Amino acid sequence: MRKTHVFAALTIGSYEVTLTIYEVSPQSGMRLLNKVKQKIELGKDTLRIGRISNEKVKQLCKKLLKLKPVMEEFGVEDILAYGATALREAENRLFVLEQIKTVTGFDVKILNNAQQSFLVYKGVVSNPAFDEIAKDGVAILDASPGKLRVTIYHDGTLALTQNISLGSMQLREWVKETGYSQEDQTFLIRELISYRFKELDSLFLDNVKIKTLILSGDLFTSQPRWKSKKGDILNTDKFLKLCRKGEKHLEQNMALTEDADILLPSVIICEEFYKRIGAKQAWISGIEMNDGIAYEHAMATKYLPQHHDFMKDIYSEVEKVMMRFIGETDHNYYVSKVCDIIFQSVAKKAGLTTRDRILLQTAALLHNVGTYVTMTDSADISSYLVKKMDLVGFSDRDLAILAEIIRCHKMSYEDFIDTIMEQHFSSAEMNRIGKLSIILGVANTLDVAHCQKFDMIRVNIKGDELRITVNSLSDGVLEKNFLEARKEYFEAMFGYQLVLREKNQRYVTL
Amino acid sequence: MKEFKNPAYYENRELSWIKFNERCLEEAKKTDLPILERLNFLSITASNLDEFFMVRVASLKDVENAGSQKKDIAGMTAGEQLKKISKKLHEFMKSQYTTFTYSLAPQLKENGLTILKSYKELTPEQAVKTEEYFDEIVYPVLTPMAVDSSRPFPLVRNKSINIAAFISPKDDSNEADFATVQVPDVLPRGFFLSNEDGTQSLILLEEIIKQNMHKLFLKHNIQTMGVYRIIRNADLTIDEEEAADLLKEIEEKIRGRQWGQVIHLSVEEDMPKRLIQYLSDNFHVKKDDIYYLNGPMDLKYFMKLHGMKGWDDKRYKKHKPAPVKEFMDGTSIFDVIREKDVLMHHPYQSFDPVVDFVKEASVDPNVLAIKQTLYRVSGNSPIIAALERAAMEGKQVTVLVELKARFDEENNIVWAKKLEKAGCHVIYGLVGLKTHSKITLVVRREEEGIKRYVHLGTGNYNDSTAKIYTDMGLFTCDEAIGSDATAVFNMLSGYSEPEQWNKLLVAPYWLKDAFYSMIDREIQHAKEGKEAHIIAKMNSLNHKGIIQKLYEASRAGVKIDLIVRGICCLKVGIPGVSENITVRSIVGQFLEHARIFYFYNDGAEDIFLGSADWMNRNLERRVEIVYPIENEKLKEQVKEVLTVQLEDTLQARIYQPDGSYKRVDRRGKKALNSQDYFVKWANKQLREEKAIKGERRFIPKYAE
Repeated sequence: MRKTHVFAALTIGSYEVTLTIYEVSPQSGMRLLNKVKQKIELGKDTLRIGRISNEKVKQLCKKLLKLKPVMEEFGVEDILAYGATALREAENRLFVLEQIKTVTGFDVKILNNAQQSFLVYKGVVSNPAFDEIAKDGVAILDASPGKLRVTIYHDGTLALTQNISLGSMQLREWVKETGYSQEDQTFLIRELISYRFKELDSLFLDNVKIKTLILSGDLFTSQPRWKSKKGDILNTDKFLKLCRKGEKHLEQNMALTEDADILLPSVIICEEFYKRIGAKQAWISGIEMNDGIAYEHAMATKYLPQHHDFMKDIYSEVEKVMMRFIGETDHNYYVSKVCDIIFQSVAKKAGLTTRDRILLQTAALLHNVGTYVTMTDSADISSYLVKKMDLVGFSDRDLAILAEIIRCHKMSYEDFIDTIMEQHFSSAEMNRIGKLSIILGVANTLDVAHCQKFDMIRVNIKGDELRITVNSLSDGVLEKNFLEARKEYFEAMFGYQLVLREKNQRYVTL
Repeated sequence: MKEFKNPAYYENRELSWIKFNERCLEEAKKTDLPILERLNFLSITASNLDEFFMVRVASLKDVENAGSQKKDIAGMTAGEQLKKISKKLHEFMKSQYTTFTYSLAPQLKENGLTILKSYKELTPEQAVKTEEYFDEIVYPVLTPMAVDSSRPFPLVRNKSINIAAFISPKDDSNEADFATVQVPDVLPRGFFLSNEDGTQSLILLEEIIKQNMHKLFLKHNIQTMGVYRIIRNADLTIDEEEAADLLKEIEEKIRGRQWGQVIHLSVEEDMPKRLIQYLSDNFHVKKDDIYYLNGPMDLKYFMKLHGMKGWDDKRYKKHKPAPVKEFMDGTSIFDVIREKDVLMHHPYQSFDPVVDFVKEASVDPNVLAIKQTLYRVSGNSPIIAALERAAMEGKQVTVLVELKARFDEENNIVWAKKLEKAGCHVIYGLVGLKTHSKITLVVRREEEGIKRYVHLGTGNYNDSTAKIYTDMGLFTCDEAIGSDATAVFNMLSGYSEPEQWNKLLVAPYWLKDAFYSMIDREIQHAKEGKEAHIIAKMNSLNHKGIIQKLYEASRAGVKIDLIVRGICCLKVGIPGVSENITVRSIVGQFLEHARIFYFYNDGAEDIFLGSADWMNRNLERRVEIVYPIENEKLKEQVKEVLTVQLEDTLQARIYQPDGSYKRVDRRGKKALNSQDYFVKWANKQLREEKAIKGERRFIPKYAE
C-alpha cells in the first residue's frame, strides 16, 4: 500500500458535473485537493423528453473530457464515477453510459435515491463536527436540483431516508409552464412545498425532535453576494434571515443572476423544511455526495478506519420501515435471528458474502410487510413494496434481489424455478436469490405460528445433513409439517438434507 | 459616503497622468544625471505620451464624438477634459523639445556627438556620404505617393514618420500636387557621420530623405516639404461575447489599429502653413490636435543611444541584480521553498530563481503540473521555453496568455500559438476581464503526498523588465495558498468559482470588498482611540470607492501614507477630508512597480503584496491577486521597503494640496535615495550570507 492515495469522485448530476479530487493517507487522513464543477442541465432533458438528447450527451462527454487534465494534474489513481437522478431516470441511460465509456473511458455507475442519500449521509458523518451536532437529532436535507432527499438521524441511529420528487429543477420547469409572474411563481412553489412537507411530517416525522437541519451541497455557499460560510451554524433568526435575503436577491435579480431560477426553489425548500421540522439551528455543511463517495472509498481501501457503524444505520432504518408496516414485530426479529444462524453455518461453503448477509437480514425483517395491505398473496405484495422503497445502502439491483428473495421464500422448488427463470437475473444472482430465499423460508417456517416455539436454536452440518437443533417450548407439529415442504428446495440449493432436532425427543426425520 | 462626492475632492485622471510624465521629464532635466540617462528619461516621456494619445485621448474623443455629457470623478465632461489635456500637452511637448534642444543636444555635442537638425548642416563630404547611403540603401525601400484626381489621399500608418511635400511638374510651376513618403521603419533611423575634429554627428533618416527628395519625384520640382507624424486611435474594442475565436478577433483588430481615427498630428515647427492645412484637412484633425515641434519627431528613438559603445561613463553603471541567498547553494528550489517562504525584491535581487523555478519544474519527474499566467513576456523568454519543455515531458501545462495586454497583443498571440504547438493547454483570457495576476503553480507528487509550490508576484513574468522594474515576489508551499492557487486556475480555466478563498484576495468580486473591510477596520480602531495606520504603495490610484473610504478613514483619524508612482485622483490636505493623508511619488532609475498594502490592525500588522492597483480597472475588470505576507521575518523585510521609501529624500516628490508635486524639503533630513539603498541592501544580504557560510561555492545555471 502506498503512503498516500489520490483519487477522484465524479458525480454526474441533473444540473452539473462535480469532480472532487482527494488525497488520503492513514497518517494525515483525507485532504481535498481540488473541486471543479461543470454546468450541464441533463435534468432538463430527462424531465422534458424522458431521455437525454444526443446533443446533450455530446456536450456531457466534452465536459467530462475537460475534466481529465484536472485529474492528471494530481496524478489521480482511481476514478469513482456516479450518475444521479437525471441519468437514472433517463430512458436511454444504458446507451448514454456506453457513450461516456467510449468517449471518455469513465465507467459511470448509476445510483438510486437511497444510495445518494446514504453517500451524502456518509459524507456528513465523516465530518468531525457531526457527532456533537447529532446528539439532539438532525435532519439532513439534500435539496439538489434533481430530487429532494431527507435523512433523519435520531437517538443515535438513522431513522429515515425519504426522497421526494420535488427537485428544484422540476419545480422550475413546472412553474415556468404556468406562465405566472415571478411573484406568483414564488407563491406557488411555496404552497406546493408546504403541502409536500406536511405529508412527510404526518407520515414520518411525528414525535421526532430535531434540533439541527444539516444542509448538504453548495446552495448557500455558491452565491458570492449572499453566501454564508461553509461550516457555519446559524440560529433560527440568522438562518431564516439568510433564506429571505437570498430569496429577495434572487427574485429581484432573476435575469441577472446565473442559476437564479434553480436556486430560488431550493432556498424556499430549505426555509419551509426548517420551519416544518421546528429545528433550532442550521448547519451549512457544504458537504456533497462526493465527500461521501470519498469517505466510503477511503474505508474500503483501508486508508481510513471506519469510525462509524454504517451497518447499524442500515439495520436501524430497515427496522424503522418494518415498524411502519408491522404491528407485532417479534416474529420478524425471530426470523431474522434464525436466518442469521443458518446463514453462518452455510455461507462459506455456499460462497455467500457479507453483502448477502445484509440482504438476508433485511429480507427477514421485511418479508411480511405486504400483510399491511392484504393477507392474500402477501409475499408478492411484500416483494412489490420492498422494491419501491428507498432503503439506504441498497442499489436498485440489491432491491430487485431483495424483492425476489421475499417473493420466493414461501415457494416450492418447482415454483421457484418457474418464477426465477422468467426474471432477468444472471445465473450467479439466481443462485444467490435461491439460497437466501430458502434460508428465509426455513426460518419463517420455524415460526409459522408466530409464537416463537423454539429457542436455543443451533445449526451444525454433519455429513450431508444440516441439522437444526431446537429446544421446544411447546408442540411444534405445525412448524414441522410446513418445514417438510422446504426440504427439496433447501437440498437443491445447498446439497444438504434438512433435519430438525428437538431436544428431549427422538429424531424427527423430514 | 455621500459627503465625499464633491468633484472638487478629486483630481482628473488624465491631468494627473500628465503630471506623472512631467515628473519623468524632470529627471531628464536633472543636470547631475549622466547624459544618456537624461536622454533615456526624455525618450520614456515620449513613449508614454504616444500610448497616452493612442488610448486615453482616443477614448475620450470617442466619448466626445458620441455626444456624451457624462462627467468624470472630477466633474468634467470628455470635451472639457480634452480641452485641458490639449493645453497641458502642448506645454508639455514644448518643454520636452526645449529640454532636448537647449540642454540635451548641447550636452551631447560637448561629449562629441552632434545631432544635426537638418541635412543643410552637412559638410560637403558628409553630404556625399549620405547621398550614397540614400541611393544604395534607402531609395529602394521608399514608396513615394502622390495625390491627384485619380489617386486619393493615401492611408498613413499609425506612428509612422512621413515627409509631406507639394510638388509641381517642371514644366508647370503653377500646378501643385501633394505627395507623401513614409520614412521606412525597416531602416535604422540614425546615421552616424565622422567630423573632421574626430567627433561624430548623427543625422536622422528623414533628413537624408529630404536631402534627396528630388530623386523621388523626377520631372517635378519640390515646392515645399516638411516632416510630420500622426497618431491614431489604437484602443481595441473587442466584442468578446460575440467573438467566436478571440485570437482571430484580436489579430484582426490589431491590423485595424493602423487605420484608426487620427487624433494627433505633429509637424516640424517651420512647416509651411498650406502644407499643414492640407494635412489637417485630410486627416480631419482639429487645430488643438496639431503640435509644432522644434526638433525631431518621435523622441523615443533616442532611447537607442543609451546603449552606444564607448559611452559607459555617460550612463549609470550597469546594475547587476544580486543573487538570492536562499537559492545559492545548488539545493533544489523545491527543497528550499519546503523549508521556508522566500521573498524576493527585484531588480535588486535576481529574477533568475523565478525562471529556474519553472525550468526545474519542467524536468523534475515528480512534477505533475505547471500552471502560469502570462501578461507581458520578454522577447526570447526562457520561461516560455521551459513551459514548452514541460509540456513535451508530458506534464500538465496550463498557461493563461492574456491576449488583451495592451500593445503586447501581437507578441502574446505568437507565444500562445507557440505554447499550444508544444502541447500546453493555453487559455486566451477571460471574456470581459483581463487577467493581470501573476501566479505560477507547480504541483508535485512527493513522499508525503501532493505538494503545491506557488510563486506570486507583483510584476510580470518578464526576465527583461525584471531588471528595470521594482517588484516583489513570494515563493511558498503554504497549503492554504496552494489550494487557493488551484482555485484561481479552476476559475481561469472556466470551471466553477471556489466557495471561499483561504488566503488570497482575488479580483474582481472579492478584492475590493476585502480592501474596504480592512480600511473599515482601521476606521473602527481609530474611533476606539487606538493607533490606526495604512500604508499603500501602488502605481496608480483612481478608484472612487477606495478614495472615499480613505477620506472617511482620514476623517476618523487613520494615518494614511500613500506611495503612488503615477496617477493619483485623491487630493491631499482638504480640510476635514484628507488632512491625514500623505502621497509621494518616486521616479528613479528603476520603474517603481510593486504593490504593497499595509494595515496596522491594532498591532497585528497585516501586509499584502499583489498585482492590483487601487484603480477601477484593477478592482472591477481584471483578475488580480493580492497575497498576504505572514512570516514575521518577511513582514519586516516588506516594512523596511515601505519605511525606506517613505524616508526617500532624493527621488520622492510630495503631492501638495494645490495638486503639484514638490521635492522633499531635505532640511534636517539625511540624503536618501531609496533605490540606491536597496541596491546596497541586496549586496549586503549576499555578503552576510557568504560570511556565514565562509566558503567558496559554484553557482549552477541550468541550460537554456
